[in-house]
Amino acid sequence: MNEELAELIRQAMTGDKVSFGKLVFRYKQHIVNIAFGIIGNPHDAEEVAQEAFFKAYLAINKLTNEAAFYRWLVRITTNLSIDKKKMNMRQATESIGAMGVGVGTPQYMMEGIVKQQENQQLILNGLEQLTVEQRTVLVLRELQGFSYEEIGEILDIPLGTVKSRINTARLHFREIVSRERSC
Amino acid sequence: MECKECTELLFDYGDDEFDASLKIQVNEHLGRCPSCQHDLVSISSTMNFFKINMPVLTVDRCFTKRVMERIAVEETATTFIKPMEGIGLVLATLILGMLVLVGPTVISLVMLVGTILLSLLSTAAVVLATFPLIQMSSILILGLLLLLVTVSMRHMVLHDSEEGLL
Repeated sequence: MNEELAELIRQAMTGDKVSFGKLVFRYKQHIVNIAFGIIGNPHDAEEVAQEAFFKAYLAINKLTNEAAFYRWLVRITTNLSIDKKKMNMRQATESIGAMGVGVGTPQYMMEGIVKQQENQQLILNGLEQLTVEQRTVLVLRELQGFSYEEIGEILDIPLGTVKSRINTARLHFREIVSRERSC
Repeated sequence: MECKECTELLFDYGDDEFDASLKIQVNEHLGRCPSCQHDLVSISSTMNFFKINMPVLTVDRCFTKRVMERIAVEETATTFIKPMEGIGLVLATLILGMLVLVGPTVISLVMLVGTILLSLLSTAAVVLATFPLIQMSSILILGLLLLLVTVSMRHMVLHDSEEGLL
């Protein structure tokens, strides 16, 4: 972590709103995409990301180490996203069809919509068939590049569980993608 | 190394955290096992496919503004609520204090009034028991009142039924 960022976090920890705003600007993309990976719905992902930053602001004075800020923020986001996803599943309001609408929503400006839309849909359908726990570790590991140890800290689970969960997720995801691609 | 063991390790193989000594063993096995090689390629290509094709959301420029606005609203609410909470707490303390101070006086007053009323009732019973003339008079008055009420009601009922017949 560079000194400028550390200073920004330190200032935000003292309640400086301007510094916190800069942190929101810096991390918004990562946070929204983590939430999107877990929830699978752009609108919900943005809501959860906002909520995560809001909660982070309220509790940032309790943070003791500025180096842990991003992981702590991801932890808040992950927990909120898992809750949201579970709630959506319970309410059965979110379907693959609804998710498809999200993918094509212009306001979210998916990158490379035209060429990759089919592949994107395949990925989203594949993720949808995983459990919330599996998709969470897959997103954190494969897309965000967190180490096993960091994932363990974020999700508050032992290293062994992280490894087995990631492997199961990869295996399951590969099966789903292969099946869908062969159709 | 057998295929079963190798397959279990293939998922970790691509990770930079994979144990170096195990990597040598896996490499040896992969060198002589086309099936495991195929598995490795399949896993790697699926994960690459995932990384490349996972849709990336681009949040609009107003996102930060919306977050900061929400924080500002919360802070405004807090600055209003906190003094109100303080005032409420002071008022509740005052009311409780008053109750504690005035409570014993109010309770003794209620008990005094109760005692007076009870003694008045027993006084009336004593008076009636002491003076038989008063007792007799009151019974007579009660009997007369009862008779008067019965006669009046009978009269009213008969009068109404006669009017109804007409």
